[in-house]
Amino acid sequence: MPVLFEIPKNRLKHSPRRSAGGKGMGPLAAFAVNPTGLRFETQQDDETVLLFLRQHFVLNVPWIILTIFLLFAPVILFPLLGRAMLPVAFPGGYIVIAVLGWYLVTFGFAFASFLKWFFNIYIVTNERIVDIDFLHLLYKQFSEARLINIQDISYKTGGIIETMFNFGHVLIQTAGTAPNFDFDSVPNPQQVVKIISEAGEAAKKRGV
Amino acid sequence: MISPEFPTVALFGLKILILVGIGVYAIFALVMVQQTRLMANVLEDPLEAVLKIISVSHLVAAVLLFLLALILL
Repeated sequence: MPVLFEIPKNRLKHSPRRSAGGKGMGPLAAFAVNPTGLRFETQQDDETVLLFLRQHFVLNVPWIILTIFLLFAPVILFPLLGRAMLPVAFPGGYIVIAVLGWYLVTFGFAFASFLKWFFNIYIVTNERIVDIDFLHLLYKQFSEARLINIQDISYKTGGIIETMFNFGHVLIQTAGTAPNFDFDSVPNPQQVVKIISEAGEAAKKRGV
Repeated sequence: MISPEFPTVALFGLKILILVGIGVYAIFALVMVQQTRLMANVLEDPLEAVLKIISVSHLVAAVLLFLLALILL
């Protein structure tokens, strides 16, 4: 029988980051269900990532606004301050170093703020939940709990911004001495609770 | 009445302060490189190479600013 339609071969090719029903994760994704192409440090070979979370991107807005202000401050603020507060003349070299230093520190502030958001991640696998906190440049915290140890899970949202952008806090209580988890300002908290609950039930059935 | 130009001693003190400040900042930039490298190992992400390049560039810029301050001030 003649072939009436054949899918072009190049359409059958899957990107390595988009396969097996999962979604390839954008580099700045804050919420990804079944992300493919993602691995973390202590992930076992047979462990599958079910959910990847960061804080909602809108939390970056304050430091972005501050960075924009700092970028324009030398152009607008310094000439005004210079005339009003510094009746003495600085040598040209000091002005050059001050301006370059200002922009370097501004960049450092923006980059450190971005890293703090980017590396503050929550991962739910088919076996456990993992919380990697990048609290500041000198402090990193890695916590994990088995799904079978989860006792109670709830979420809360409140305020105009959280309601408008649909993000909130997911609180996970675990059994025994394992630490409780607070997924702070994550997108779609109700869906996060649902996914973790289902994964927990599945893990309890499997006994892992 | 304040002199229209900074006294030489004050300028020297200011130069030392600026150099120390930039030196401390360069150490901060070095810590940032190291921490970016460590965190990139925690999470395998396509953006990790870009972040490493940015953090190293930031460190290089801090060191260059220190050298420039040594020359200009």
